[in-house]
Amino acid sequence: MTQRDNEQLTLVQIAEQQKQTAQTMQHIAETLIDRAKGAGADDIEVWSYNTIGNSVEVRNNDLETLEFNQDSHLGINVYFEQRKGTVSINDLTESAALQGLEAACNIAKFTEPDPYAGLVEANRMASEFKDLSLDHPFALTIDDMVAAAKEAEASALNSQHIKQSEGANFYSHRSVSCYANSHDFCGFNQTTRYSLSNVLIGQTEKGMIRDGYYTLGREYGDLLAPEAVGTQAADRIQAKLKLGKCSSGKFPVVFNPEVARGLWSHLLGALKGGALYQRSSFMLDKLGHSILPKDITIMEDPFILKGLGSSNYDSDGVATAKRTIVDQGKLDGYFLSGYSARRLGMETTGNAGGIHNILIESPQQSLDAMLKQLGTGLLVTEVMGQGVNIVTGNYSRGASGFWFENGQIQHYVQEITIAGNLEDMFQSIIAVGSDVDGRSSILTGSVAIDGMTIAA
Amino acid sequence: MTSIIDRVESHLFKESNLSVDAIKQAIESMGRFQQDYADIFLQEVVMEYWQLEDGLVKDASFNLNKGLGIRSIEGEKTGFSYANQFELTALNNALTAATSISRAGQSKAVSFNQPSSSTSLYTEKNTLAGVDQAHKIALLRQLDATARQLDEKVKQVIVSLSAADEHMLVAAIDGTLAADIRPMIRLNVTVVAESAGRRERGSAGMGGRYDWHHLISLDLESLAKKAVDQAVVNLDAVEAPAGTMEVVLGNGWPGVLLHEAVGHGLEGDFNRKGSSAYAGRIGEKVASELCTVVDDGTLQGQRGSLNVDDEGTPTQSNVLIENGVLKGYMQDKHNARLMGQSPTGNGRRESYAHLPMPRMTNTLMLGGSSEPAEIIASVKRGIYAPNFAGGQVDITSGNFVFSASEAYLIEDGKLTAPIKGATLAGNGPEVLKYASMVGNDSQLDPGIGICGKDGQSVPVCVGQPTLKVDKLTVGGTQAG
Repeated sequence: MTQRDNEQLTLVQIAEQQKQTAQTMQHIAETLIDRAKGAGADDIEVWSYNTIGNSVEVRNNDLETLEFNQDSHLGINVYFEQRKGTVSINDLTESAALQGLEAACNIAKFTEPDPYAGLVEANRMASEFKDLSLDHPFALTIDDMVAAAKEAEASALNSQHIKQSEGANFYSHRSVSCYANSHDFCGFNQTTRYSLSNVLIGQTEKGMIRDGYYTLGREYGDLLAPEAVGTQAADRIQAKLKLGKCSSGKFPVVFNPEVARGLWSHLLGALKGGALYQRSSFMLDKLGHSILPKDITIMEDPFILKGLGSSNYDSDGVATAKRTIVDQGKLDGYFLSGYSARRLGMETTGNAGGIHNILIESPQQSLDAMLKQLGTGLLVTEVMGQGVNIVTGNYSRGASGFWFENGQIQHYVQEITIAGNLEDMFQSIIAVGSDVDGRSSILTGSVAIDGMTIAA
Repeated sequence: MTSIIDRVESHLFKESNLSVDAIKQAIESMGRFQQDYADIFLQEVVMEYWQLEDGLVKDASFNLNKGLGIRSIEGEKTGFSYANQFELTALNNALTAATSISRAGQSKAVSFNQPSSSTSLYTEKNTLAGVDQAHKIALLRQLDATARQLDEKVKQVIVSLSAADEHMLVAAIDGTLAADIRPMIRLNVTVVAESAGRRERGSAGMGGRYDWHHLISLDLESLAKKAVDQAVVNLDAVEAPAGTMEVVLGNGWPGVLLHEAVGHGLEGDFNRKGSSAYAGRIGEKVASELCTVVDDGTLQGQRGSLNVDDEGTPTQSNVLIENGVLKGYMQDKHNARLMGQSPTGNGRRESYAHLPMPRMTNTLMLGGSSEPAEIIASVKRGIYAPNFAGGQVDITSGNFVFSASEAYLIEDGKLTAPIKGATLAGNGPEVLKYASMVGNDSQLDPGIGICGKDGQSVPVCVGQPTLKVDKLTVGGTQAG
């Protein structure tokens, strides 16, 4: 690797530098696979990444923090007669990698044989690598980033009800990652990511409130204009200034898209192989059963251009596929890696390392129409705490949001809780909004649920 | 005996062209800029992890992370860069980047402090030094067997052991030169119990800055029992009540209340920026006079303890609330300087690749005079919560939550049915005003806390006595 790493590089220059890094990664992977075979390992897999970028924070129109980020990682799994050894280091030099391999082989002498361990069959490895449009290096300088952050903050502070800015942050990063294994599979991903955010504080009679807004994307040109980020952040504060109360009891609750994707992630998490084979999921034995109202279908699509969860292969090297998870309310598929699939006596679904892009499909209506349909209830915009039990589906969170009556927002409420059981909550979805938020790999609009318990 | 600086130097730089002298020279070279502060932090963390699942120890991993971070501060402006090599060129590149926002100034000489040779709060030996792999595996198997024998409803057991050894060295333009060797061990048992179609998970952990030999001298069987009890009790849990009511918190880990409701709001950075609900309130009464809360980084062998923080400041015991009155903030050097205060030994960072911030260490409430049984007996209708999954706070509004993973109804002064996990919600500067009884049983948690802030995780400890709060929102499903 070159040693120019820490100059103020734009992602265009970083991308140039990472060509060399990618070659180093491939060379290390080939060397390790070769050496592991020589040492008698049955199989080996090697994954690595290198992320370089810059991050700035502006507060009160002044640069407050300038960070040069540069992170590397190398991971190794070796298998000897179903025994596994794992090593990870933050160093992409050949000498460190070889020491890592030795340590991994050493560990594998002591772990116990696991009949389910090992690589996925060679014929499942990805062989088609579509251009998913994930890599968009742009010659954005630190000065450009600072200017954008200042512009966002200035537009927010234009609103008179803002007490102060907590800071506007801009980051731009490029990553190159490699996964290789002893089936002769070697895949690369190059991705860029840009983000601009602004957090503000407003003053009410009862104390301060905080909120913010962010924009995020693979391509710089896809970001929301800085001025719009600031304005959105300020609008959110303004909406919260009218504080009020709500009463305890059972009410319809609408989760806005930012909170709704968290809700979907609890369902998706319960459908992951690890949770299922450990019998730690409220979705055990539900395949083929109705888990959602029948007008809702959930798709997984790893091939969305510029998608935040897009990938041609998973972290087993297995080819990903577009597929149906929930078909008109009926559970149609799990999220399995090679390992969890073997544990369950099933086939991998290409989800080692996680879930790709998720699309929630339903007859969508506007948020206004949803509130009108529900009449009185709570529009949740933030949830807090760890009160989600994925084993039982028990759900109890701190929340804040907007109380609505006759379909009209009345005031902001905070310091309350909402509770229910996830299995019932998903069955009780009344509507999914058309206000889809693209800043996530879970693409959902607002979600309305009937009959949750509010405690105030 | 060699100094801690020498021992860390010889460990970190054995295959490197760096030395403490080279680090000192680099700091001195930064004196040419017009800055208020600059430091270089070097760190190596070696971690070993063993996990048993289905009665087999089939996952084991070894992890090595090392690197150096350089920071340059002028006024409120910070430049930061890091590298994953202990190597002179990497050091110089990081230095150039970190100072790229600094203006040239008058050269200043730096005279480095002689580190004091105080005794360590923890062992310097490698946490798992000389321990046979077979012994580690045997321990995990033994806990697995114990958990399964305790109750036939136990269907799944996961036991894990992790041990990390950290070497750190920090040098700063204010003359700081400090080093530390920090062990950390952690043992965890998670079980899934099943009965009559219901399933529940129970989990228990313990650990701290001590080694294997100390760990195995502790009562490890009780760890398995705690995990099993939690799962089995919850199999019979009924719906939790919803609304505002009296809550009795158990001793130890429920101190997560203090961490969220009080601790974060008293971190210097939020108060410098005026974004904390506690900003500008020193000297005000924010709790009942029964409450005294401290953050103490000097406790022997505890998970949150440090000989020096990550800026080289020796840790101390800081009083946050004394007899109900707000006393002080927790500071790192940067925020202390900007607020005209002294650093308090709370400057911590997740790693060399993260900027230091004011963070908690071991945060606890001192014991009071009530008997725990008397506290429960005083409640007509409420809940008793001895175990939590964690918490979260919005320091600006002061709103916080913490989520009970084991709780019971109290009816007419007696514990009755176990209830399903519920989130408790309150407001930081208000909640402790309703603390009406403080137990005489103050205790630290068993060594399981991880605190997250701005994407950085650091190990912490919390503690408290049994505590009665007259008004907390309980987030159950049974309204009315």
